[in-house]
Amino acid sequence: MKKIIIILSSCIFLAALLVDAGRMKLVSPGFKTTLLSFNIPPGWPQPVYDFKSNPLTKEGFELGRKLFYDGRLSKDGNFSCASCHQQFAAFATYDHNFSHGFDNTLTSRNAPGLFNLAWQKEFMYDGGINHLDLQPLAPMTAKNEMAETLQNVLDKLKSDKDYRKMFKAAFGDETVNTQRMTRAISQFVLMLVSSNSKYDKMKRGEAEFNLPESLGYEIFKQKCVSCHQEPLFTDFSYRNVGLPADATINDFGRMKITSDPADSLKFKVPGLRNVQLTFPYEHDGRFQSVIQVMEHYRSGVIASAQTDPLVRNKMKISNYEIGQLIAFLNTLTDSSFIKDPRFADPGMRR
Amino acid sequence: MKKIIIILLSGFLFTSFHHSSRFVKAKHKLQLVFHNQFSGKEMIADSSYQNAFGENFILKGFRYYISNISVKEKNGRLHNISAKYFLVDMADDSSQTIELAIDKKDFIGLQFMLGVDSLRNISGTQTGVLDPARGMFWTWNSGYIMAKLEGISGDSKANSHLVTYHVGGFKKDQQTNRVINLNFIESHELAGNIFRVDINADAAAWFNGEHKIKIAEYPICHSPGALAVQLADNYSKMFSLAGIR
Ligand code: HEC
Ligand code: HEC
Repeated sequence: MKKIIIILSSCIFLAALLVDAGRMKLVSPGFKTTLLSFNIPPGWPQPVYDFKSNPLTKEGFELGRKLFYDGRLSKDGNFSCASCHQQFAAFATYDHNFSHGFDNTLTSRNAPGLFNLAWQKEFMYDGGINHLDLQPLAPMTAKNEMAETLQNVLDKLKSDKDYRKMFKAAFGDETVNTQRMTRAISQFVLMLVSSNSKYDKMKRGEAEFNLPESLGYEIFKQKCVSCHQEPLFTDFSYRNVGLPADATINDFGRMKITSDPADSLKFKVPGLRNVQLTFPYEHDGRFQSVIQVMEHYRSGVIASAQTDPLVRNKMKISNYEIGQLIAFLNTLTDSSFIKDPRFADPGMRR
Repeated sequence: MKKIIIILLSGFLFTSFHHSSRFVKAKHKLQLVFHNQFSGKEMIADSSYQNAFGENFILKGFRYYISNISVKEKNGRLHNISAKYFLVDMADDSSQTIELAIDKKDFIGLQFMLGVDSLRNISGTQTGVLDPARGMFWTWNSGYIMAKLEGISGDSKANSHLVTYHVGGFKKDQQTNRVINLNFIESHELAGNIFRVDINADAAAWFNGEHKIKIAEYPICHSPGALAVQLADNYSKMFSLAGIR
C-alpha cells in the first residue's frame, strides 16, 4: 500500500513538473552561462545601467565583442563599430575630426572615446539616445555611417553558423533579434571601464603627482570641475560653451532633441579621461590640441544668451596654468585600458 | 503514512495551482477587425484619394500600434483584456485582425490606445512588433513612431512630392499616443463564442480634424514636436464602429 502511494504520488508530481516545463518552453537543457562581475572602482557612484535586465556573461560579452568588430553590420562590409571606435585611441577615431562612413561619407560629429558607459544615462553629444542598448541602432542605420537596415543585419547574423552558436550560448537558443544583438553589444561596451590612469593610481595612493600635475589639478578643481566633475570628469549636463555653429553643418546640439531654443548649441559635457588620445576635440573636432581648447576658453568664447555663465566672460588662464592643466589632463590617460587584450579584435573577422 | 499523504497532496496542489493560473476562465473570443480606409473608401496601395482640401494623395503606407485593449462593462468599469502590442499594417492582412480571449459576456464599449506607452520608449530594445527592425522607431532621438501615413501628392513641395507623416513623441508636451473610446449604442450580449467588432480607421482624418493640416503646407513630419501632436489629435478621431457581430 505504502509503495503504491509513493509511486502514485511521485508520478503525479513528475507529471506536474513535466507539464510545467513544457509550458515554460525551457531553453535548451543544460543552458548555462558564466557570469561576469562588474567592478565599481572605489569611490565611484553606482552605475545607472540596469544590469538586472541584461546580466553580464562571458558568452554575451564575447558575442558583443565579435559584433563590435564585425564589418558585416554595415552595408558594404567595411564599417564595423571598431572602424570608428579604435582601441588605441580609447575607442575614439584617432586623429580625425569626422569619421569615414559608407560610400565616401563623413559623420557630422567627432567620434567620442567609449568607456565608463555604465554610468551614462543618455548618449550622443545631444543626448538623443536614452538607453545604451538602443545606441548601436543609430550608426547601423545612418546613411553616413554603416548605412544598413536592421532587418538586413539580423538576416546576415541568422545565416551565419558561428553567430547562431554564439547567440545560443549567450541567450539559450538560436533566436536572433534586435534586442539580443544590442544587449550583447551593450555587454561588450559596458565592460570598457577605464579606471587605471595615473590620476586613479594617485587617488588610490599607488602613485604621486609631480609638481606641474598637482598644480594643474588644483587649477582644474577651481575652474573646470563644475562641469567636468570627478571621477568621470563630466556631470552629464548639456552646456553651451560659446562655440559658434559651423555654417556647413548647422549643428545646434541639444536643441534638435528638445526643440527648445534655450538648448541652442548645448552639447554634452565630455568626460576627459584619455583626453590625450581622443584628439581632435569638441563635438565637431574643430580643435586639434588641448592648447587650442584652452585658448578657446580664455579668448575664443562667442557668448550668446544660452552661453554658460561659467565661461561666457572668458576664463582667466595664464600660459603657465595652461601648461599645468595639460600636465594634469595627461594623467588621465589609461595605458592599460588601451592595451587590454579582452577588448581587442577577437580576430574572427572575415 | 502522513508524509506520503502530504506529498500526494502537494503533487495535486502543484498541478492544479499551475493550471488554474494559466488557463484563464475565458471561453470567448473578441475579434477586432480594422478596416483601413481613406474618405470612406477601402485602402489600396498606390491608389489615389482626395483629402478634405481637394488635395490629391497617392497612398503608399499606413501603419499604427494598438495596445492596452479594454472592454467597458455595463456599469462603466473598464476591464483590461490585453497588455500586448499590435502593429496594424495596411500591407499585411493578418495584422488587421486582433483576436483576444475574454470572459465578459456583456459590455457596452471598447477602449484601446493608439501608440506605445512611455515606459516602452525608455526601456531599451524591445521584441516582437516593438522590435526596432520593424521600422517604427527613431534611432537618433530614441522613441517609437506611433503611426505612419505615407504617400505622394502633387501638392507636396517636399522632394519627389513625398508626403511622410511619421508621428511619435512621448515626452512632456510631445505626447502622441492617444486613448480611443468606442461606445456601442446598446449593450451587447454575447451570443456565440466569437464576438466580432469591426472598426473603420479612416486616414482622411489625419488632415481634417481639430487641426486643418494641408499637404501643401506640411508634407513632412519626421520628429516629435508640435506638428506631430496636431496629427495625433487628428488621428485620435479616425476610428469609428462599423459593426458588431
Ligand atoms: C562611421 C563612424 C562610426 C561607426 C561605424 C560607429 N560609430 Fe559610434 N559614434 C560615432 C560618432 C561620430 C559618435 C558621436 C555622435 C553624436 O554625438 O552625435 C558616436 C557615438 C557613439 C556612442 C555614444 C558615446 C557617448 O558618450 O555618448 C556609443 C556608445 C557608440 N558610438 C557606440 C558605437 C557602436 C556600438 C557602434 C557599432 C554598432 C558604433 N558606435 C559605430 C561614429 C561611429
Ligand atoms: C560650463 C561648463 C564647462 C566648463 C567650466 C569647462 N568645460 Fe570643458 N567642455 C564643456 C563642454 C560642454 C564641452 C564640449 C563642447 C562641444 O563639444 O561643443 C567641453 C569640452 C572640453 C574639452 C574637449 C574634450 C573632447 O573630448 O572633445 C576639453 C579638453 C575641456 N573641455 C577641458 C576643460 C578644462 C581644462 C576646463 C577648465 C579650464 C573646462 N573644460 C571647463 C563644458 C565645460
